[in-house]
This record gives sequence, structure tokens and C-alpha cells, in this order.
Amino acid sequence: MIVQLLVTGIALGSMYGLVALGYHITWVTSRTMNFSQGHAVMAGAVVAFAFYVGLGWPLWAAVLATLVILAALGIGLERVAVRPFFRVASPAWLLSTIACGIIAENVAMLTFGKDARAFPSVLTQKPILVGGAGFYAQELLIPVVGLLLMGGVQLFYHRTGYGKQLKAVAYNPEAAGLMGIHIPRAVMCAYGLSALLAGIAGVLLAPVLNVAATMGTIIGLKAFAVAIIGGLNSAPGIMVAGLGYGLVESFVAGYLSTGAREIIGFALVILVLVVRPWGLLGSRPARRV
Amino acid sequence: MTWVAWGCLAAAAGSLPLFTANTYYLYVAASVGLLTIVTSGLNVLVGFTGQMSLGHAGFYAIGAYAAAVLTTRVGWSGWAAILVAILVAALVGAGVAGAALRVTGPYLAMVTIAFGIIVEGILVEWVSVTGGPGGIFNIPKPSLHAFYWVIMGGAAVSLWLVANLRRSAWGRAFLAVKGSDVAAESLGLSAYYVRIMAFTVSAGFAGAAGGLFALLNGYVSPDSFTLQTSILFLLALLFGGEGRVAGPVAGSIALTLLPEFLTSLADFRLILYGGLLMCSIYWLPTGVVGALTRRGDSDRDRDGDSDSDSDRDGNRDRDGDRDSGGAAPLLQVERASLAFGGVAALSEVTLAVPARGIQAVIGPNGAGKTTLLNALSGFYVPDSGGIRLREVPVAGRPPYAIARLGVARTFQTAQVFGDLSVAENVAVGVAGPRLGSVVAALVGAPWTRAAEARLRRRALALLAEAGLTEWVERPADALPAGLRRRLEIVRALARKPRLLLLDEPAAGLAPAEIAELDAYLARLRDTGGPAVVLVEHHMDLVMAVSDHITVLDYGRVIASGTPEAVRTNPAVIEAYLGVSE
Amino acid sequence: MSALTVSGVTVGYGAIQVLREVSLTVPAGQIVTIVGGNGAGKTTLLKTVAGVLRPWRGTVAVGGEAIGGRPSYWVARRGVVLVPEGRGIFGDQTVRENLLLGALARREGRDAASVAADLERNLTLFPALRDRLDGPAGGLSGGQQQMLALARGLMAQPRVLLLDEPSMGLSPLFVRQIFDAIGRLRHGGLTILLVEQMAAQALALADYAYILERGAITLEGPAASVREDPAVMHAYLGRGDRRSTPR
Repeated sequence: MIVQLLVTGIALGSMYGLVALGYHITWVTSRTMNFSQGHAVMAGAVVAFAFYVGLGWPLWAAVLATLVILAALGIGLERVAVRPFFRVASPAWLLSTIACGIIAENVAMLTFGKDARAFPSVLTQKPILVGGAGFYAQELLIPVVGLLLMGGVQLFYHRTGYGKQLKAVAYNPEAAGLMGIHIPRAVMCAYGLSALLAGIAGVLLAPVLNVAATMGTIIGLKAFAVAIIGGLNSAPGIMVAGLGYGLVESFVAGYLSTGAREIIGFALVILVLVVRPWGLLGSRPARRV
Repeated sequence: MTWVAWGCLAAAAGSLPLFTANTYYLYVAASVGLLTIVTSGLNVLVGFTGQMSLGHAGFYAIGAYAAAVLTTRVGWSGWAAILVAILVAALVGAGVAGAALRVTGPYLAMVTIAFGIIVEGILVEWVSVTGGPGGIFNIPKPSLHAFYWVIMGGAAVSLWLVANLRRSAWGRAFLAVKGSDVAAESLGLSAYYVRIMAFTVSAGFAGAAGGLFALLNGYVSPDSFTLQTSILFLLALLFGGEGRVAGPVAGSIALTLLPEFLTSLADFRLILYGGLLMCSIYWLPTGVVGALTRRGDSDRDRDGDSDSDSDRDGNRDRDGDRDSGGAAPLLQVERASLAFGGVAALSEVTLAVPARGIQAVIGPNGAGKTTLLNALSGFYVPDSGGIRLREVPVAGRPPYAIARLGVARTFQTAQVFGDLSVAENVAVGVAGPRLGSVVAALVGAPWTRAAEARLRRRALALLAEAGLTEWVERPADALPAGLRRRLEIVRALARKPRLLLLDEPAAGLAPAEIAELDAYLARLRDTGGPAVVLVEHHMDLVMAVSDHITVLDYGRVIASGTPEAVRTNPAVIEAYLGVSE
Repeated sequence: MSALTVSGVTVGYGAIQVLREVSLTVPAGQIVTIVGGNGAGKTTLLKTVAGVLRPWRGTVAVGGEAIGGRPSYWVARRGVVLVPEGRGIFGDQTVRENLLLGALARREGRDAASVAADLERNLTLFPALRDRLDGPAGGLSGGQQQMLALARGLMAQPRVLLLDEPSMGLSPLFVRQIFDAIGRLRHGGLTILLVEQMAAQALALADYAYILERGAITLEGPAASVREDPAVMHAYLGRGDRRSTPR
């Protein structure tokens, strides 16, 4: 049973981490984020379902189409809900992205329906048995993909020229513009990438959880918690926090109850923030005196 | 909002039961009232103090379930139950605030969200107390007609309480912490505790509304207290206009009535909800009330007391505080050292500031002057060495504690409280940490009013001395840059400090203005003002006005003496003054 | 070498108008200074030229090409570089990374070798930066940050350099160094618009001067004669240089 919980925990945790990276990327570029990142995950699952099950496309085509659509949605969200406020340094992006998420959920309910549906996948048909515990190949694939992506993002930001430009935009958008950095494009890229990661998480999770229009909210909240306790500006922190959170959730659900899962999970989040207010590996924003 | 508008609103609310016996309309109106109570409290947190909460449904729930449990299980009366609901919600609010308010921005949002989810989870899981997913039924329900008045009365009282709060020292403290928490700390306010108080007050309001909600409906269940509920609260406030007393009313009316008109579109409810949110964000950034009224009017009441007593209290305080001069230095810095990331900003700095006179600290950039000032005022903590204020060690104490010991300061970029008027800025200085009881502020107790009158008189007198009388009622961020700095100094002096730290007060001033500053500082010294430590670059000012100059370079003291001595010191010339032409 | 022309610019923030019909010219290869007190609109003017603000009315042109109303990243890539008040350096990156970011806006010589050569040249101009090349830019003192900001601006190989109060918050020695550096830049053919409060220094350095008061130009002329103007002497030169130490 422990192995089972371990695997589930790591799988879920790496997905939380992946989605949380989406928060990190847009935060590090523009000091804003898509507060409905969870709904982007849902969109990834729902759109993939529509192509694969609804239209009968081959899996690879469905996934590709999903990623393209998600990236476009991310760019669209930035244009509509973030850019107007980013320019004037208003915190209204918080609520406007929440609003878009609410709308997205309603659209999904109207088109996809209110019920959860299963996502068929070869990787979840036959459980692999190891030492008396069974888990799906999908659950093994998830952390691998997740960790690879996270590593890639990290490299991008700190080692590449464009990544450093994006960091400059976050630090001081006006000054970055004076350097000739194309600000709107930078923020747009960040949001596109962030939605893409959420979409990938949605596609990977769809066979494991079931696809439902309402699946986004709680995933988004947990991923947000992971981003916060990892430290918004620290990708390694987020990776660690994601895995940690996933494992805690898994074991609490396994040994206590699923009801306690949310309570204990979020209570731990508060506890971490009391002890380390800026996240495990995050840094306090410098107080200019 | 003008009295006419308030009057119409009260008339409409009051007359509704006379026009209709339809309980549904009364119920909807009562819902508006409940939402007004919650959003008024949230206004104190979000509008006044600039914080955020996406978990206030949690306090609403605590209030509702407390009332439910007390009336059904323990048999208390509705009134008593609601009172307890308020207290419990406020207490929990203080606790959550203690955890949440150590951080800002998204981190703060997270803690409030987590709190809301935890409460929701507990409501579902703790079946023995909360009745689980089914909730609690059979709460004794007063008749709707009677209870309607109670709720409307509650809403009116909420608005009145918040209006009182805005006019009090607590209200100004909230806005000060929102405007510049650094400046607020330098005036003796602990930003952390001020925010906790705002949070607690807002939680109490939500708890009250929750208790009333339980009694209005006769049952409570976890479905009413979700994250969406918290978002609704915030949306109602922001749509109506945060920071304004009337905002919650407008927002509550809009957000309660709109779904009623759109019941036929129930499936699209969320889309419309989201769309409304987007529209209000785009086109009504300051809310409905903000769009309808101009800035700077309405919520600031002029206190008309014309007490002809001169500043009796003020003079008495000053005498009491005056140092006897004496030989002991007011401030003693001993071998203070401070490094940032391996670079030594201060290196074994020793300095003595007597109780009178103007000390200048000069030096090239990177010499550590502002670092020194920040260490003296508590914003930085030295790694080693000590700082003693009148023999009391202060290194390591938080800025507000040091401020309360009689240290006041200005900042390189003038930190005025933009949401407050010029007079209110100075009033924050006059009051400092003496805010009185928040409950007294909420109800506008008579002794609070008297204290207010005194504060205002003193503030106006100080502003008159500084030549700022024509700006007195204007919002502080309308001041041009040179006058902002002057306001900052007046506000700092309002604290009647023993020590005034000025961080490059002449930066950005034209030569004529620098000459004025020169004269002002000299006057300050000659009329028994505080000891002054002046960090500056403008050599004319420094040479003209200082009694003593300390020169820093690379964090070390390289010279110390009278202006003449320093000016001719070869080490100083080489490091700082450059070659004479 | 390009000339900068500002013509009839009216602009402000929100509902507040700051500049009224401001017109000025910076001939190619010269230093023009704008002197004015607080709130006169100097920073607003530079921000409008640099594309941070869009003018309500009027035009801005460089070398005959209109740039008014275009966003700042476009203007920067056209060779009009602003070194802002407050410096705008990226504190979370190193000094070197900051300088390299400055090179982004270059139109020519974008290859690594040219950039490295320019980096070397700028470090020679501002030696204090050399020791701290790989340290965090946020750890520099105010004066060092000002030098970094100036060096970074130069990395973009600007045609026109806009300087917003480079002396602000600097000690007299640093002010001297900065003004010396600016003077040397002129000899390299750079067109410079210098906004300053330190009137004496600025007027000594510039070829031509404008006085900006409450959003409008009230006086202009060759710097030497503006310096002699009695009103200017009274308002901006104060009591004059009482001591020989630089202000």
C-alpha cells in the first residue's frame, strides 16, 4: 500500500508542480499570474477529450491540437485579462483572471456537460504489478515528464538570453522597455507557456482522474499553494513543494480520509507560511527604505 | 455620498415592507443588507488598509454556525447568539491575521484562501457539531417582517461604524499603513498590528452578518460558504468602490439584484457573473461610487470645534520631554558594523550625537550614510556593535519601537500618505501610536471626538507654521515634490521627537528652496528643536548649517569635526570633495 | 549623428497636464540642457521623447523620423536611449548581465565580439564597475548604480542619449566624474539631451540651454548667455558658487 501511495503522491505532486510552474513563469515575467490556472488544466483535459473521444482523432493529433489551443488561450487571456492592467500596474488582473476562469468553467459545463467522464488510455488499461502493488504506467510517465519540463524551464530562465530578458521585465517593466525589450511580447510568451504547461498537465492527468468541467478549481488552488510554499520566484522550490504536497495528500487520503485531505493539506500550507513566510526557497521582496 | 442620497436610500429601505407583503422581495432586500454588512467590514481591510482576503466566507460561516449551534443546541436567544458570533469570528480573525499578515500579495491571498477551504472542510467533516453536509436545521426564525428591520438596522449601523472609523485615528492609521508602511513605522505605528486590527474588525463584521444570515434562513449548510462566496464578497466591494463608505451599499445592491433579474438565464449565471466582474474591472476601476463622486470630498468631515484654547497640552508635553541638555550624548553609536551579501556597508562606525544641534553625515556614494540612518531608525539591524539612545540599547528593535523612543525621520523619496489629506498626514504624526480603543473609534465615543479636535488643532497649527495652510484639505499626493518633503518633515516633527533624522532633504530642490531649508533648520535648532542628524550631499547646505560633520567612506568614519576642519581635511578632499577649482 | 526635434508637445498623466506646447531642438552632436525646478516637467519631457508617455499633441522626431507616440522598446531600438531618473537597473541580475541587456537595443554590431569590445570601453570609462562585474547590481551604491545606468545606456550605441538628472543623489566627486564622462561623450559625436537641477554644472557643460518652468519653456539660448541671465542666476544659481567645491 505504501508503494501505491508513494507513486500516486509523486505523480499528483509532479503535476501540481508543473501547473505551479505556470504561476511562477508569469509571475517572474510580469508580477502577475493567471489565477485560474486550474481551469487551464481542465481546458486541456476537456479539449483533448473532445478531439480524442469526441472526434476520434489519433491520440498524438489530439494532444497536439490541445497544446496549440491551450497556448492560444493563454495568449488570449493575457491580451484580455492581464495586459490592460499590467500596463497601469493595477492589481485588477487577479480578479479579471478569476473572472475568465469562471466563464471558462461555465462554457465547459454547457458544452461538455456537468458529469465526469473517463478518458481512455493505453497507459491506464493494465496495471503494472510490483511487489503486490499495482499502478498504471501513466502514473509513472507523469513525474518523468513533469520533472523534465521543470528542469527545462529553469534552464531557460537563468541561462538563456531571452530568459534573462523576461526576468528584467518582471523586475522593472518600464526600464526593460527602455532597453528595447519588447514587453508585450515577453508577457504574452510567458502566458502562452504557462497555459501550455497547464494543458500538458491536463492531458497527463485526464486518464488518471476523470475529466469534468469542475475539476479545475481545486487543482488550481492546490497548485497555487504549491507555488506559494515553494516560493513564487524559485522554480526548484516549487518542484520540491509540489512533490511534498502530493505525497502528503496521498498519504493522508490513504490513512485517514479523503475529507481530511483538503483540511490537512491547506493547514500545512498555512503552517509553512507561518514558519517561512516567503516560501521554502523564496526570497522576501526587498523593502526599499 | 450626499445626505440626499443617503436619505433616499434609507427611505427606500424603510418603506419597502409598507409597499409589499411579498416575503420574497423582503428576503432579497434583507440579503442586500447582509451583504452590506460583510462588505463594510471588508472595506476596512481592503479599502482602508490595502490588504486582500479571499477567505471571508470562512468568517461568515463561523458567525452563522456559531449562531446556529447556540440557538439550536444550547437554547440561547438570537441576540446573545449573534453577539457571540461576532466575538468568535473576530477572535479567529485575529488568529488568522497573525499568520496571514506577515506576508503580502499572493502569499497573503493564499493564506486567506487556505483558511476558507479549511473552514469549509471542517463544516463538512465535523458532523457532530456542524451537522456535516446537511447542515443545521430548525434554527428559530423570527418573523421576516420583524427581522427585516433588524437586518436593515444592522446594515445602517455597519455603515455608520465604518464612517466613524474613517474619521478616527485608527482610520488614519489604516490608510497610513496602506500608503507607506515604512513611513507609518517611522511614526511609531506597528504596521503588522494595525493590519491585524483591520482584519479582526472585518472578520467581526462578517461574523455578525453570518449570525443574522443563520437566523434569517432558519438553516445553514456548507454550500453557502464556499470560495465563490468569498469572491462574491470581494467583487461586491470592488464593484461598489473600496475605500469609500458608500461603496459596499452600491456593490451589495448590484450584486444581489442582478442575479434576481437573470434567473431565467440560470445556466449562464456564471458567465454573466464573470462578465460582470470583467466589465467592472475595465470600466469602473474605482467602483460605482468612485465613478460617481470626485476624489477627496465626501468622506472627510471637517471637525468644526473652535476651541480657543491655545496648545496647552502641546506645550506641557514639550516641557516634559525636554532633555536637560547635559553632557551625555543623546545617541551613541559604538563600532556598528553591517554587511550586505559580503559587502561591508558599515564598518566599526562610532558616532555620538548630542541632545542639541545639527550633525551632518556626508560621504561619497556607497559610503553607508543611508545605511547608517536606516540602522539608527531600526530598519536595518547591525551585525555587531551597539546603538544606544540615552543609554538604552536599541539595535535590533523594530522601527516602530525606536520611533516611540523619540526618533523621527524622513526618507530619500518623500513618503507621504497619498490617501489622506495633508492635515490628516500630520495628524498621524501627532497621534503616533496613541490610537485609543478601536471600539471607541467605531462608535465615535465622545472622548474620541474631543481627542480628535485636539489632534486637528495641533496639526493645523504645525501646518500653518510651515506655510502649508492652503494645502490643508488637499490629498497629500496632490502636493508637488518640494512640498511633499516639507510635509514629511512637519509630520515627523509632530511627533515631538528628541532626534530627527533627515535623509537627503535637499535632493531634488532648487537652490532657492535649499536656502529656505537651510534657514528652516537653523531656526529649528535655535528654538529648542530636536537634535538633527542630516545626511546630505549639497555641500553648501551642510557647511552652512551643521555644528559637526562626520565623514564616511566605504562604511568607515574617515573624519569627524567642525565644518572648517572637515573641509580642509586632506583625506576628505581626496575622497569626496574633489579638487578645488 | 542625428538631431532631435520636439515640436509643440503637450502631455500629462491621467487628467493632469504637465507640459504645454513645448518645443526644442537638439542639434546633432551637441549637448543641450534643460534646467528647471521640481515639478517643472523635465522627467515628463524625457519620458515622452523616450516613448514611455504618448504625447497628447505635438511631434517628436529624430533625424527626421517621427518617433512620437511609439512605445519605448521601439524608440530604444531606433537609437534614442533614456537613462532614467532612479536609474532603472535590474537589481536581481549581475552588473555584467545588466550591461549586456543594454546591448539589446543596438542596431549594429550585435555580434559577441563587438559587444565585448564595447563592454571593455565602458568599463574603462567607469572603472568602479569593473570590480563588481559579477556581483548583484542591487548591491551597488547610488553613485555606482548611476554609473552602471549610464554605461548600460551607452551599450546600446545610441544616436541620441537622454539623461535624467544624472547628478541626483551623488556626492560632489561623483558628480564631477559623471559630468566629465558626459563631456567626453560629446567628443564622440553623441547627441545629448541633459535634464538637470544642478544648473551650474549643466550650463557649464552644455552648448545650448532651455529653462523649463511649470510645463513651459521660459527662456532659451546658448548656455553661456543663459548662465549670465539675471533671473536665471537668482533662481537657479542661488547664491552662486560660494566655495570652489563643486555642488
